[in-house]
Formats: sequence, C-alpha cells, structure tokens
Amino acid sequence: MQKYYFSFVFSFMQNKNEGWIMSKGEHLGEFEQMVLLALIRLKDNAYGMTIRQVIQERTDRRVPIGQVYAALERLESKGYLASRVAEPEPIRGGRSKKLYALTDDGESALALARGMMAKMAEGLELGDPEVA
Amino acid sequence: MIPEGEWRSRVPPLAELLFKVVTPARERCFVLGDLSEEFVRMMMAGTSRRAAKWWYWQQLFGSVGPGVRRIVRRQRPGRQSRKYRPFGNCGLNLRLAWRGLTRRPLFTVVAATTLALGIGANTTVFSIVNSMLLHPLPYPEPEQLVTLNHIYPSQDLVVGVSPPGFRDYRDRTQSFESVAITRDGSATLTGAGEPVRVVGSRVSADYFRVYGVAPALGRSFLPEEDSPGNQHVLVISDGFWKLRLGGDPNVLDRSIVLNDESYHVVGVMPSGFEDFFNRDAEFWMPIALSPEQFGDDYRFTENQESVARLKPGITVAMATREVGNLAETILSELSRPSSDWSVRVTSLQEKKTAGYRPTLLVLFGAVGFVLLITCANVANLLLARAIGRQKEIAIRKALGASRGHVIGQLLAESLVLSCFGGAAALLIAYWSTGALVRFGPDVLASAEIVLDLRVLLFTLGVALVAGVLFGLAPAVQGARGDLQSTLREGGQASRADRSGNRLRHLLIVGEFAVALVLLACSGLMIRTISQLRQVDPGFNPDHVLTANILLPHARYPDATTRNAFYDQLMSELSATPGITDAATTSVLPFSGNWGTASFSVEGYVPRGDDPPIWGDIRFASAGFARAMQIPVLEGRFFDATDGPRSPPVAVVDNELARRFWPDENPIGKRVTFGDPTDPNATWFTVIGVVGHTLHAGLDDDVRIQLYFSSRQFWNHHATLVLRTDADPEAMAQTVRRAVFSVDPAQPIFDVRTMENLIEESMGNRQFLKTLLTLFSGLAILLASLGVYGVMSHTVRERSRELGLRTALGATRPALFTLVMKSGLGLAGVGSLLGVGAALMLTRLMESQLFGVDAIDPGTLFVAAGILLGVAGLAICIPANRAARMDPLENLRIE
Repeated sequence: MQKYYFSFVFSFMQNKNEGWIMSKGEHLGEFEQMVLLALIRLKDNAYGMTIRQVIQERTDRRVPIGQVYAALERLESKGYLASRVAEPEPIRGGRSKKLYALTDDGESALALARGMMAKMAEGLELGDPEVA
Repeated sequence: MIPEGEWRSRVPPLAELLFKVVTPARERCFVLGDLSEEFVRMMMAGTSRRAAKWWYWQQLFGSVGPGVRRIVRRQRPGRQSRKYRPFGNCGLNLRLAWRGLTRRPLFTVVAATTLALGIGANTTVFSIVNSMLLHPLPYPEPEQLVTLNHIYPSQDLVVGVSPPGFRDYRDRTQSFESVAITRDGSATLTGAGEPVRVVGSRVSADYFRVYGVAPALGRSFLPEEDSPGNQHVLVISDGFWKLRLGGDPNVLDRSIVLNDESYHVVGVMPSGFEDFFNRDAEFWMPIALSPEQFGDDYRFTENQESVARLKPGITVAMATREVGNLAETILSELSRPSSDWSVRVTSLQEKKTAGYRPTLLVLFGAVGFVLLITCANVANLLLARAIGRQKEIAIRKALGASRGHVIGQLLAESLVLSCFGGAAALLIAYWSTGALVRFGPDVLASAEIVLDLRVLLFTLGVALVAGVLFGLAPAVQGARGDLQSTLREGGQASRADRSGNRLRHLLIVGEFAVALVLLACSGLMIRTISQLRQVDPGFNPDHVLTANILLPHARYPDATTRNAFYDQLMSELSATPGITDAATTSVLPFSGNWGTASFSVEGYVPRGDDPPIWGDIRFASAGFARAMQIPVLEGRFFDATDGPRSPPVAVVDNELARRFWPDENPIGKRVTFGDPTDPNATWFTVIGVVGHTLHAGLDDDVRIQLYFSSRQFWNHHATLVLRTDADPEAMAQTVRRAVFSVDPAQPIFDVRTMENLIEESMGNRQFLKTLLTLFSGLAILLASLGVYGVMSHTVRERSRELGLRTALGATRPALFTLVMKSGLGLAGVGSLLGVGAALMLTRLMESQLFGVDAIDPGTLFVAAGILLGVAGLAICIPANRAARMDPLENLRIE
C-alpha cells in the first residue's frame, strides 16, 4: 500500500514539474507501440484483423487475434486510442466492425516512447536494425 | 466457385464455440467476425481447408491466455469499480462464498442440515401433492373425461347411475361423445391350479373407447357382445396375460374359466392401462344388461359407476346444465317430485383428488411453516456470523466495496448454502417418500410417488427462494454496519450489533409463533384421533376376523344350494377350536362396501316435501349379532327358523325404531321395498331391535339400518364374521381350510381383522396426525436451537455486564434468572402471537377434526406449555453458563 502511495505522489509531482512525464503503468510496451503504428498506417480501416495482418506482414510475427484485442482494450482504457462501431457491411448477414483511431494522447505517448528508445540507442553501435 | 457465405459456414464450430467462451462478451461479435473474415479470405485465396482450419485453431490457442487474463483481471476485487453490477460479479461472489463456507465447515454443516430438513420436508410433501393432485390421468385428453352420479341433496347422498339413466345420458344428450358404465365383476378363476379370486369389472361395450385406449392385442367388445347370452368374451390386462398366461402369443385363441363359466379372450390391454374405477382389475367382461334392467323398475337401482367423454369444446358446466335439464324431464315423465333427485357431472381428475385434497393442502401449509422456521433459524445463524464478521466487512468497505458488493457477496453465500441444503433435501425426500409409501396409507403406495422434473424444479425454486429469504436480512444488516464505529469500537457491541440483535430476537419470536401454530394443529389431530378411538362403533371389534366369499352363479344357482353351502360352512367353523361364533353378512361395517335402499314403513306416509325413507341394508345370518356383539335391545335376532319358506322377517336398529315408532313397540311392525299400496307387496315383519352400528367410519353420520335374514335373500357375495378366543390373525389359515373342506374350488379373499378395518378407516387422519406431529416436533427442535443460539450469543456479548453484576453482588441464581427471563420472554411473546395466529389458522383444518373444536383452549394451552418447557430447557444451558462465569475473567477480557 505504502509503496504505491509514494509512487503515485512521486509521479504526480513529476507531472506537475515536467508537464507530461507518465507514471510507470502508462509507458507503452513494444507490442502496444506496434499496434499504434499499425493504426497510423491503416488510417480509416483499422480494426482487429487488419491490425493483426499489418503487424504480421511487416514483422513476420504471428499474432493471435486475442492478443490484438487485449492490447487495443488496454490502450483504449489509457486514452491512447478511440473506437467506434462502424455501420454493418451492405451485404447479406454483413457484420459491424469496431474501428480504432489514434488520439492525441496516444500520438504523444508513441512519440515519447520512440524518443526514449532513440535516446537510449543514441551513440551506440548496434548495427542495422533487421527484422528477423 | 464456392460463395463467401458458404465458406463462412465452414469455420470449425468447436473452435468458434471455444472462442466465444474465452472472449469477453462486449467484443465477441467483432472478434468472431474478424476471424471468419480472415478465414474466408484465406479460403478464397486458395489456402487448403485444412490449413485454414489449423490457422483458426492456432488463433484460438494464442488467444486463450490473453482472454482469460482479461476476464480474471476484470473480476479482481481491487479493480472493481464502486458501481455494483449484480450479475457481473456473480462468478466472483460465488467463488468467495464457496471459500467462506468451506473455511467454516461446522457452521456450513449445521446451516445446510437445517435447510435440508426444511426443504426436504417440503419436497417430500410436494412430491405427494405432485403425484396425487397435479399428475394428469393416464388417458388421452384426460380433461374431457367425466363421471356422472345421481344425487339426493337432502340426504347428502351420492350414488352411481342406474341402467335406464345410462341409456338416457348416452342417447338423449348432446354433450357426450360416448358414455359407458362399469361395476365390479371379480370372479373365481379355475382351471389353473388352486382356485383364486381375480379382480375384474363388468363394463358396457364402449368402456375402453371412452378412455381412448385400445387393446394392444385383439379388440375390445362389439356392441352385440354386450347383451345377455353373448357376453362370454373377455378383455384381459397385460399383467393377467404375462403372469397368469405366461405371455402366450396365442392368447386370443384361449378360453378362461371364471366362476365356472368359459370366456373367450378377445383382447389384451396395453401394459400400464389402469381402470379408473377398479385399479386392480385384471379382466373386463361385458356387463350385458337385460332389456328389463333398462326398464323404469330399475330407474333407481343406482349401482353402476359411469364414465363419459365430453365432446370437444363442451365444459363440465355445460354438460351439468344439459344433464340437469334431462333429469327434470325424466322426473316429470315419471311424475315424481323433482326436489330430491338430480344428476351431477364431475371431472374424473376432480373425483380422483377429492378424497385427499383437504388433507394434502393442510399438510402443504404445515410444511410451508416448517420452511419458514428453517429460514428464520438459518437467518439467525447468518446474522450471528455477520455480526462476527463486521470487521471483515468494514475493511472490505474501506477498500472500496459498495453496499451492493457486500450484500451481493453475503447473498451469494446464502444461495450457495441453500443449494447445499437443496441437494441434501433431495436425498431426504428420496428416502422419506420411500418410507411414506411403505408405512403410510395404502393410497400413497398406489399413487406412484416419484421425484420427477417438476419436483426437482420445485426443490430448486424453494432452495433459491429460501436462500433469498434467509439471506436478505442478514446481508442488508451486515452491509449496513457503520464503518468508523465498527473499526473504532473494538470488541464492544456496535450499533449494528445491537440492531442485528433486535432482528435476531424478532426472528426467534416469529419462530416460536409459527412453531406454536404447528403444535396446535398436531395437538388438534392427536385429540381427533383419540376422540375417534373412544367412539363406540356399536359392536365389539376385538378378536373378530373377517373374510369374503363370492359364490359362482354356475355352481350355486339358487337359494337351496347357497344355503346348503353356508349351513355346512357355519357348522364346520363353529366346530373349529378357537372360533366361538361364526356368521355372515352381505355388507360389513368399515369394509368400504355399502348397500342402501329406500323402503316404506307400514302406517307411515311421508309428507309432500319429505324425502323417501332410506337406510343401510344388510342381509345377515343367524348369529351375526352374537358374533359382532351387537346388543339385541328388543325381541330377537334371526335364527335357523327364519328360512326361505318361513314368513319374511326383519330386524331394525334402535335409530329406525326411535324415528318411526317412538312410543310404540316396534316388534310386529312391517316394512316393504315394494309399493305399500300394492296388495301383492312383500312385507317384512320386525322381530327384533338391535343397537345402531357405525358403518363407513367412526365419524359416520347416523343412518338407519335394516337387517334381513340371509336365508331369505339371494346374494352371491358374503363376508364371514368370526369371533375367536385366540389371536384372530392366526386363524386365517384355519378358516381357509374350513371353506376348502366344504368346497375345494371356493377361495376366500380380503381376510382382515375387524380392528384392522377400523384402524384403516382413520387412514387419512392418522397420516395427517403423524406428519403434523413430525413437523411440529421439527419446529420445536428448530425453534429451541434458535433460542439456544441467540441466548448463547447474548451471554457471550453481555459477559462484561454479567461480570460487573457479579462484582457488585449479584448471586448465581440471580444471573441464571436474568438470562432465563430474557430468553423465555422471547419464547413467551412468540407463543402468544402463535396463539393468535392459531386461532385464525386452525379453522382451515376444521373438516379433518372430530370431537374437538378448531379453537380449543385446552390444546392451545398444552401446546404453549410444551413449547415454553422445551424452550426453557434450551435456555437453561446458556443461563447456567452465565451463572458460572468467573467475574474476574470476564472483566479482564476487556
């Protein structure tokens, strides 16, 4: 209890002083970054399966759909993306899709995460980044 | 090319189902939609079906982990929002409830056992109600089946129908599709080993068509077979075919000898077919009424049972109206006054249940009370537990649980508890219905009481309702506790404690009130039975054995052969050691048989509105009054001189003598069955007056009785009455041997002692008394346990105060009295309220009572005394504990 309390006060103070520094729970993980980047790439056609396809195509990483939705829910609860249910497709038995879009907070969080990674890598000789 | 829609339908169904399980409901349709879209895309792109399916399964395997993690995370208490979702937290609440209950096994076992007893008693009674009142009759469209009866309203007499009546209802009405009649046709079966009596019925040709059941083999009766001379055909039951004929496939070619006459088998009824009027019937033969029997002379020979099927759309009320109008027409045709004869139409279902509906409804009410006490008791246990858990609840609330959360969790506990109780209740019901069928009245054994789906649903419903009933008050009480004061007050009684105690006291008062009502009911039934036992039946049933004989018409065609048989049998029996008196009668009291007739008394002319004279008729042999020990008050009973050739004589009971010859000597007066104005009428001269005997039951209405000499009246059926000087039951074999020595082909049946028959006549009431006593015993036990629990809790809670009192000089007896007073106060208030409730409720069982008023101060007083006595014993234990407390120890606790 005590520990969380301090950590909360600490991050709150940091926020006050530095504007947008986030608490630990609000940092973006690697997969979350991939999802947000896929959203930007897909523009108006970002939904579960297309996001999964983009990630798989570009990283060759097999991603189960359940994992995509879990990440989408997490990101939405943090306010980094917004969702809306699209009109059903105009075919017989056509289904509704849940479309996702990046929010301003999401854009900032993504920029911060990428900046932090860039700062960490700055000046290091790591070779060319290759996707295995 | 395969269209997209078809590919969509080829998604592996099991994987899809599992996906539904692991995906949160709010996004299920999107996920499944996405998957099927991709699946279709792969198939249309040429991926093999196998590979696409494998991909689908891989998606599932990969999604299980994230899905389950999300579901669990949502339900983790720390992540719950303060808003209470009654069903969203169901799984969690049930898990917590399970954990809480298994952590306190003693509490769980006590509470679940209490519930199991309460719910089990309810399930047991419901399973009886279910099979006896709610099960439909086993015939197609049973609601269309009715029975017709002739009624004599002024005498409250309901009888069967007469042959002319049957013809009129069949031919002169529009309401019925078909009408049939039946009467007992039991006969002696010979030709297959030792002669045996087989139960059967004589029926009109349409009998099976009315029920809507056709024979499984062969056919039913043809109209022409239902006439004298052509009636030697037989339809047999499945049981008769399989057990007596060994399931002979050529049964339709066989003949069977009944009453020394040969009958040809034309049909076999399906297994499970049950004759409504003769459950044990193994065969049916045509009733074959003669044309004379359809004449007006037989208009009031009302000894046939009838069954009819209403036309579709016709109700019982409509049929009653039509038949009522027909009855008036018939009476006007006969030029008889219409005031005292009519016809009643009753649905078969109603006829079936009428006899025991009041008994079962009283029982159902009583057992509902037991459930109330059970709920109050378990609520008390839960309240005590909730008070003990105030700290835990306060901490939960401090951590963010809303009141809804706490109530939900406590309610879940009571629901889980009631489910335990319900499951155990089913076991109890299973055993207890078995015991009831075995030891209860005969009607239960034939009712096929089973625990079917309806009983299971009832038990589930009762368990859930009980769960809410006993769980709600403690849950609300538990959730209401003031957070700060609970955490601050430490071991001291908080405000919630005190209001919890008030609630517990209220529950105890309620328990005692309900227990008193039950105790009063069972007290009234006990008094009813004891009053009935004190009734003098008018004869001495002690050491009397009875047995029945049915002489076949073929072997005993006339009075001479029949009298010869009985004379020889009587002398054989009289010479048998152990038998002091032997006699016969056509109708035996308490046997369930009866025979009534209207007759005229010489010199007595009924006034215009007076009903005709009706009475019980018995054809008795010489020695009947002696064998039954019926007192002969005037004149004499029949003797050997009253034979077929001597003048017709009669013996009357003192009721008849008092009614018609109050100030005269009845001896020498005359009665007749014929028209008194007819010079050829046969008059019977009264030669004696005997005491009145009860006939149908110990609470029977007094009806006048007439005896005629069995040697002057032809009757196939007779009941032997034997007074023995040893144990009557042990004489049964001796009697059988004596009958065989006279006629080796003559069986006897229904061998019973008179005491047995009288005991059975109280069957319904005995059953009610036994169960009510059982239920009230349970109620007392539960109420006492309740008051014990509450007082123990109070003593523990007030230990500091008791310690102070002792320190200030209170003696042990004073402390003992203090606790006793407060406990007995609760029991007393409850009993007082119970007396009030009993004054209103015991009236509902008035029809079951005899010799005691529904409002009986004595019974109420005794019931309250017993209840307070037992409560006193239960309170003694905590009171004693309070008196023996060490004051120093008590003060140190604080």
